[in-house]
Amino acid sequence: MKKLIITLAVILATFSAFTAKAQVQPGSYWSIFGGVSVPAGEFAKSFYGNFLDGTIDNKAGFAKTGYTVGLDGAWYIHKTNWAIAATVSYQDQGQLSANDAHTLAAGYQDAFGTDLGQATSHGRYQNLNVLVGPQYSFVFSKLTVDVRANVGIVKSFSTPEMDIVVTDGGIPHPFAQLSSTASAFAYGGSADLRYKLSKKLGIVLKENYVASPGIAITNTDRVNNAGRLDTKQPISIFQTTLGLNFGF
Amino acid sequence: MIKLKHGVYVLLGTALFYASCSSKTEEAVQPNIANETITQASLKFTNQANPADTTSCTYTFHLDNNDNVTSVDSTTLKLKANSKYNGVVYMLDQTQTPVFVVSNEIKQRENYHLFFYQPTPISTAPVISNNSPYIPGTPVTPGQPPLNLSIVRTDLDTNNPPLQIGLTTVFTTGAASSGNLRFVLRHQPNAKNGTYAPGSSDLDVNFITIIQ
Repeated sequence: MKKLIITLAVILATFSAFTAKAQVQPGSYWSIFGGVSVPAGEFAKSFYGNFLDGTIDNKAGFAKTGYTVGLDGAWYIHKTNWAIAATVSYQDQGQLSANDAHTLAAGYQDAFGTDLGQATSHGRYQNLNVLVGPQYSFVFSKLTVDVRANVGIVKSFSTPEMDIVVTDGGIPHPFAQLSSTASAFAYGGSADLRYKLSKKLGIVLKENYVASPGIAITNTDRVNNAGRLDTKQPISIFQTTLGLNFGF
Repeated sequence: MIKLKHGVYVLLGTALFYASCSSKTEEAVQPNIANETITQASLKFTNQANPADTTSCTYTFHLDNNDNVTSVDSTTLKLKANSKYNGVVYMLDQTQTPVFVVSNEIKQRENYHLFFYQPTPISTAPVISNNSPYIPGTPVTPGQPPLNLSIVRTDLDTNNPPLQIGLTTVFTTGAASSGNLRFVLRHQPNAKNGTYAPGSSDLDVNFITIIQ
């Protein structure tokens, strides 16, 4: 996050110097976009860890590279390069693979010291981001560079459900991590290049970062304090999108 | 512009439809692996009134090269009458080199392991609760002189709320008597609740016990 803030500050300072001489007023716009959404950090990890050496990773998300689609817009404050911007985007970050299920099965089997571990997973990471924030634009004739900071919410439609059964002495002990539809605070930043194709139409290439401290996760039938237990799934994604923007 | 809006709706709808339809179930079963092997289980005691007064009992499983039990032997537990002893469990896996201390691993896996200690004979059924080290269903034999021994577990795990473990205990003896001490380790993965019932037994042995 610190790196992102520093990067945005450097970009802002650099382009402020370029645009000081020839300011052109940018116009408000909205856009549609689609692109690739890449998980990062704990959200992207497919790691269980080891029970005995205390390295169990409760926050590993097993998320996959997926896609994003959405709507975006910016409304400029009169006679300035500052705008209030908003983005609504839908993301799909995939589901657990067969390898991930094996990782969970082996991890829980080791953590509970049982004869058998079984993991079944279904459902995908699907969520909606609603973000707003200030945007500053640097206009170079047909090319505009926008940098933006965002805050908002991430609304989960589903997360992968994980059904675990550890069996010992022929006795099954089932428990589950349920799919979440919770909402959570989200923040991030973005930088984009907009190129005017006509007076009202342009294309936009954007790099976007969104993070959330975590959406609440419910677990059922957890009796003992052992093994991976995820109660809050942090989210962290980088998105590269291409879109069409339309001037008002 | 209207056509474009319709296009956006179609794009979003297609994405949502694709996402909702493409979810599949992944399932994995880890192959059966052997639990930890216990080849020797010992109870070591220190008299609270005299730390130099120590005693112990040991149960040993003798294995062949295929880890099948060929024979067992055990030593007798001898305790002084009307005394209090601090007890400690010590378990080994001697099939490993170096010898593996299983009781250390049980400590690490304390949140789903529970030890039970049942003296027999008993003249009346002991009170069984979530904190009881006694085994429900133990037959009562009023006609036989009981083994005058009571046991309290003294250690707690990190469950919430904490539950007893039984790696450490206090044994309190009464008048001279003799009988057996049944010593059981229950493995209760995601099922430990302080009672005997859930799970299965990793160890279930008897020590001849003499209080003198």
